[in-house]
Amino acid sequence: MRALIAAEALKLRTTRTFFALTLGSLAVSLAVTAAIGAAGEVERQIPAGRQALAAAGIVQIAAGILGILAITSEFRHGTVTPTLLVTPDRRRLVVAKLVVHLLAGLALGLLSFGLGAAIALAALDARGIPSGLSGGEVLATIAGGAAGTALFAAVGLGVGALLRNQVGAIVLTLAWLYALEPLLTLVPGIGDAVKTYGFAALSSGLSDTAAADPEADLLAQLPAGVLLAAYALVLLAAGAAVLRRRDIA
Amino acid sequence: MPALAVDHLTKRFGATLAVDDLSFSVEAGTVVGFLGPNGAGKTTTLRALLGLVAPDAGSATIEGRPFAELSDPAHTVGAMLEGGLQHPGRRGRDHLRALARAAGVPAARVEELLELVDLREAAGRRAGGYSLGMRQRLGLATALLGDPRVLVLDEPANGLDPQGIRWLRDFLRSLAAEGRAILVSSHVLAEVAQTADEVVVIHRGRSVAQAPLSRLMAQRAGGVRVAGPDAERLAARLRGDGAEVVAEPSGAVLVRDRTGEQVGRVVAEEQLVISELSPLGSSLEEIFFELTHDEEGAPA
Repeated sequence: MRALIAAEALKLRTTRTFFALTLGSLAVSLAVTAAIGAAGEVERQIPAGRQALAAAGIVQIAAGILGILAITSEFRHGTVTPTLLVTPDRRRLVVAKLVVHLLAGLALGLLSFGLGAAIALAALDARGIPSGLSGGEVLATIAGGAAGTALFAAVGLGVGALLRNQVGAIVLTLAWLYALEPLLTLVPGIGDAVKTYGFAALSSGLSDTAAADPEADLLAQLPAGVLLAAYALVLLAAGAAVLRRRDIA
Repeated sequence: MPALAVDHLTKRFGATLAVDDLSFSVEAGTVVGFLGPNGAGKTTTLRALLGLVAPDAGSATIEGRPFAELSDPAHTVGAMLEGGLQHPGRRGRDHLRALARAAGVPAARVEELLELVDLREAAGRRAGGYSLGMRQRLGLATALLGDPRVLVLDEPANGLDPQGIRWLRDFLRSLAAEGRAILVSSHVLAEVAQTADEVVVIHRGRSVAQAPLSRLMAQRAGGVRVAGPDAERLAARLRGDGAEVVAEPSGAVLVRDRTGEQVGRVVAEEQLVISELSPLGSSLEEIFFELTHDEEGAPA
C-alpha cells in the first residue's frame, strides 16, 4: 500500500495541472483574503477576522477539482489501463488516491488558511479594526479550513470515480456549488436546511468562518466536519463500487 | 498449462457481440500472432485477458488464473494496449517511474528500459510531444517493467519505422527464446509473419483459424484455378480422387489441395481440353483476406 501511495503521489505532482490549480487557487485566495482584510466592509455582528478568512476557502474548489481529476484524467488519457495492470484491485487504487489527495488538500488548506490568517489579521490591525478572534480561535479556523480542504478533495475523488467523464464531473460540481445549492437556499421549506447542511454551509461551519448569509444557522466545527466526511464517504463508496464493476474498454 | 488461455470467451457491449465463443492458447516460449481486421474483437479479447473487461461467458486466464487473482501481476504479465496510453502532460520518465513504484520495481529498471527502447534523451520531455513511434516504445517499456513471463502487445508495430519494426521482431524472438509467452495482435498479417510461431485469426469475434503460419499457408494457399471446356469433367475426376474442388460461377474450378503439376498430369491422362491453369494467389495478404472477408450469403 505504501508503494501504491508513493506512486499516486508521484503522479499527482508530475503534471502541470497540479501546480496550476494549487498555486493559482492559493494566489487568488490570499489576494481576496488580503483585499477584504485591507479594504473590505465589515459587518458588525460577525467578528471581522471570520469575514476575511471566509475567502481562504476558495482553495477548496481547487482541491475538489484535483480530486475529480485524480480518476477522470486516468480515463480521459487511458492511463487507467497501465495503472490497473500494476494495481488490479480498484478499491486499493481509490484508497491510495484518497490518502494522497487528503494530504495534498490538507497542505493546500493549511497554506491558504494559515497564510490567509497572517495576512488578514495584519491588514485588519493596520486599519485599527479588531479581528474579534482569540489566538485559539484563529488556530481552530486554520485547522478546520485545512480539514475542509482535504475533505473537498475526497468529495471530488468520489464524484470523479462515480462519473468518470472529466468535463461532466467538473461542470456538474461547479454547477452544484455555484448555482444549484445557492438556488436551493431560496426554496421555502428546504432553504434553511441547505443553509446549514449544504456543502458551502459545511465548509463555513468547519472552518468557523462567515457564511454568505450572515443569518444562516451553521453547524459547529466538529459536527460540520463529521457530516462533510460522511458526504465524502458516501460518494467514495458509491464511486468505488461503480469503478469496480466498470469495464475498462 | 498454457501461459495464457482464452476459453469459450464471449463478451457483449450492448447489442454488439464483440467476442463470440473464442478459444485459443499461448504456450511459454512461443510468439502467437493475434490477427483480425479492425473491429474483429482483438482488443476486447486482450482486455478480458488483462482483467479490464469482465467476460459474459467463458474465461481468459494467465498461467491458469484470471488476471485479478494473480498474486504478483506486474511480474507475471506485461501489456501494451492502444499505443501505450500516457498522460500528455507527464514526462516519459515520470510515467514509467510512477508505474514502477506501484509495481514494486526499482527506479534503476526504469533507466534500463529507457535505454533499451531508445528514449533516454526524450524521457525528460512531456509525452504529449512524442511521436506515435515514441509513445509505442514508451508503451513497450511499460509492458516490460516487471520483467514479466507473459507479454500481451496490441499492435506494437504501429508507428514504428522499418528499423524499429525489425528491432521489435528480433526483440520479441529473443524474449520468446528466454521462455516467455508472447501474444501480439495486428491487423496486418505480414507484420507478424516473421515473428509468430503460430497465428490465431479472428473475424467478427470468432476464431477462423489457429495454426502455425506454414500450415495455414499450405492449407489455404495451395491449389490451382482451372478454366476451359472440360473444367467440369476435371472437377468430377479430381473429386473422385478425394481432392477439394470448388466450382466458380464462371465455370472455372478451384482445386484446393493439388499442385499445378498434379492437375496437369490428370489433364494429360484424361486428354482434357483446358484454357487456363494457374496457381492460386498465395500471398499472406490474400490468405488473410480470404479468412476474414464476408462471403455473400455466408452467415456472419
